[in-house]
Formats: sequence, C-alpha cells, structure tokens
Amino acid sequence: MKKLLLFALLFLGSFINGQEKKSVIEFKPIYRFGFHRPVAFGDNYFAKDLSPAFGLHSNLSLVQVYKFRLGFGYDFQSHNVKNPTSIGNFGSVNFNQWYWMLEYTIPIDNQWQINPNVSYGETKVNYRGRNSGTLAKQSLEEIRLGGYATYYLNRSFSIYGGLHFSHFFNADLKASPENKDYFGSGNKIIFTIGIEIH
Amino acid sequence: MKKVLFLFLGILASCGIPYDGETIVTLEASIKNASGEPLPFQIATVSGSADFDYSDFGIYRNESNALGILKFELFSPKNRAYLQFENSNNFLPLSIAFDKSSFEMFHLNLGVITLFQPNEIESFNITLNPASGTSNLISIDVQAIKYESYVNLTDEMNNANPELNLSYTLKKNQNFNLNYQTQNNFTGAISSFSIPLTMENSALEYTITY
Repeated sequence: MKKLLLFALLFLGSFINGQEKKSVIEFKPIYRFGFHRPVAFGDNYFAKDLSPAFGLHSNLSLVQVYKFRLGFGYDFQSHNVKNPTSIGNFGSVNFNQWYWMLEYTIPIDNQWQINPNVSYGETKVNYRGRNSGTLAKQSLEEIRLGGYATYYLNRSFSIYGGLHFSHFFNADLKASPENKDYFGSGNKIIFTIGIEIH
Repeated sequence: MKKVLFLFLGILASCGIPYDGETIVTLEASIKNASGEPLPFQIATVSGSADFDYSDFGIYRNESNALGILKFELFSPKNRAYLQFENSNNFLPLSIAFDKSSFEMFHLNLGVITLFQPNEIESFNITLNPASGTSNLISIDVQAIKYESYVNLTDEMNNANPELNLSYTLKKNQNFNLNYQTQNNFTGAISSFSIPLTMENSALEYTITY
C-alpha cells in the first residue's frame, strides 16, 4: 500500500514537473472530509443483520489532468449487530475502507461543480467482542460508482454532498454456497456530506 | 530465561484471534429428553478457547427451536471450541469439544443430543476376568443411550489410541447391547461377542470372562 502511494506521488510529480509545457495538468489538491451513511440492501448479512450506522468519510487528490483526478480515501463506520443469532452477537462490527478513486470534474458555474467518480478498494472488517478486542477479521473488495456535488464557499472551502452505489464482495470466503451468497457480498447506497478544502 | 520466553509466547498465544472470519461453518443438533421428545428453548453457547474475556462468553448463544433443532452459523474456531448447554430444568451439564477438523464441507451435524436429569441415569460398570490366559480383550462397544458430560470431537481425539472404557452412565430402563472382541494370543484370531442387557432402575455390573 505504501509503495503504491509512493509510486502514485512520484508519477503525479513527474506530471507536475511538466506542467510548464502542458497546461492541462494542474496541481490542485483537494481534501474532502465529512460523514457518510451507508445503507445496505438486499438479502444479505450486511443489510439484514447489521444496524445502519454513520461513519467518517475522507479522500485526497493532488492534481487534475484533463479534468480527471486520481485520489485515495479512507472511510470508517462501526455497526451494531441487529440479529445476534446470525453469525455472532458481537459488540460491534467495524469497517475500515481504503480505496483509489478516479473522478472527472464538470464545472456547472462559478460556484457549483459535479464530480462523477469510480473507486475501488479494500475493506477490513473487524468483529469485536463486547468487552474484548477483535474476535474475527475479514477482507472485502469494494467497487463504487457515483459522484459529488460541490458548492464553493470561497477559494479555499466548499461543501459537498455525495451519492454512491457500492458493490462489495469477499472472494476468499470459505463457506457453503448459501452462506457464501448471504455473508459474502452485498450492495449499498452511500450518502456523504462534508467540507472540501482546496 | 526459557521460562520468561515461554511465558511471553503463552501470553502472545492467549491474545490470538479465536475465530477465522474468512470461514463460516454450520453446527446443528437435535435436542431431545430421555424419553426421546424434542426439547425446545434449550440455550447453548459456543466459545473459542482463546476468548479474551469471560464476559464475551455469549458471542455465540442460541436456543433450540420449537422442534428442538439447535443451529449455529459461526466463524470457524481457529483452535478448539466448546458447545455447552446452560444449566436449566435440572438437566445435567454437557460439553462438546470440536475444531476445524470436525466439519465436513463447512457443516457439523451432531445428530441427537439427549439431555438427562439426574434421576434418569444409572451407572454401568464392566469387570474384566482374563481367566483363559490365551486371549486379550481388544475392544468394547456399549450400544446404549449414554450420558457423557464431555464429548471430544477434535482431531486430537480421533488420532488418540482408544482405551477400553469400563465405566458408563446409561439411561435407566432400556435394553442395550454390550459388544466386545477378543483376540487369541497364539493364532491372532478375533472373536466377536454381543451380549443383550437391560438397564433397570439401579446400577448394573457385568463381568467379561475371556
């Protein structure tokens, strides 16, 4: 992960060095920080047996190339168990999500902008006890499609709202076919809101 | 120094994560009383041997349904885990040890688990009488409805050399078979015997003469 990040920074740095020749490449860092509300749906564990939760949402991109941006992000949310007899009456089920994001910038006017994007990442799920640490760990892969609508407050700050569709799955889950279906994948809609720093 | 190292390794081992989140298994059993009737609403727990805290004992806690069927969907225990019944209605305690090796295709069906009350069981003891001096007793199998407070289904048990068990606790008022095999020390020939017996309301003893 660190190597990938370093590579991405070096790669972007090489573009920035060439900025004098190519004006399409701009060093325009954007940092988004806010809250999100994932709402899982369908016939699966994540939709039926976990309570919905609010979480933290953040991502960073450094340069814009032909109105495209490559960024990376981190999200976190902690769920309570709604159905204790399903896979265990855990104290909490914590989702730590790291992802790469490719987005496109569509300016609407001087104050509004839309950023459709696609992202791919990994989610570490920690099943924690009520009075102890992590009792089980799981990894999910996640693909997101959606976008942000941004309203510029001034040159440095904006507020944004986001809407994404997410499909996540566990390709490594070992279980009976019916449990693979139920515990191994799901879909969710993610609502986000927060501030953007330019 | 070695003691300190072992203590450190022991502490590390006890801090391990007890369940494999990437493997989901199903544990199933039919809970019945001594008369063979289904026992609904019997509460059982599954706990990993490396649980951090006793207050986390109820991570896997479930009760049998109206038909006496008990079912757990659980993350596979990394080490040994135990199915235990909560003491209710004066049933005798029962603990079943299992591990990853106990599951086939992510499923373990324990069949019928009979819960007994103290007044429903009696002891059955076998005495050995090697009178001939030419044969050895090589196996004993009591085919009866038994009470065992601890059942070990782990790999360790499967690989162990079975010892001849001479003491049993059986359900009262039942007909059962005592099967045993002897082997002739000189010829190696194996002889099988099946003795029909009846357990009534008091302790029973039987002497195998070979």
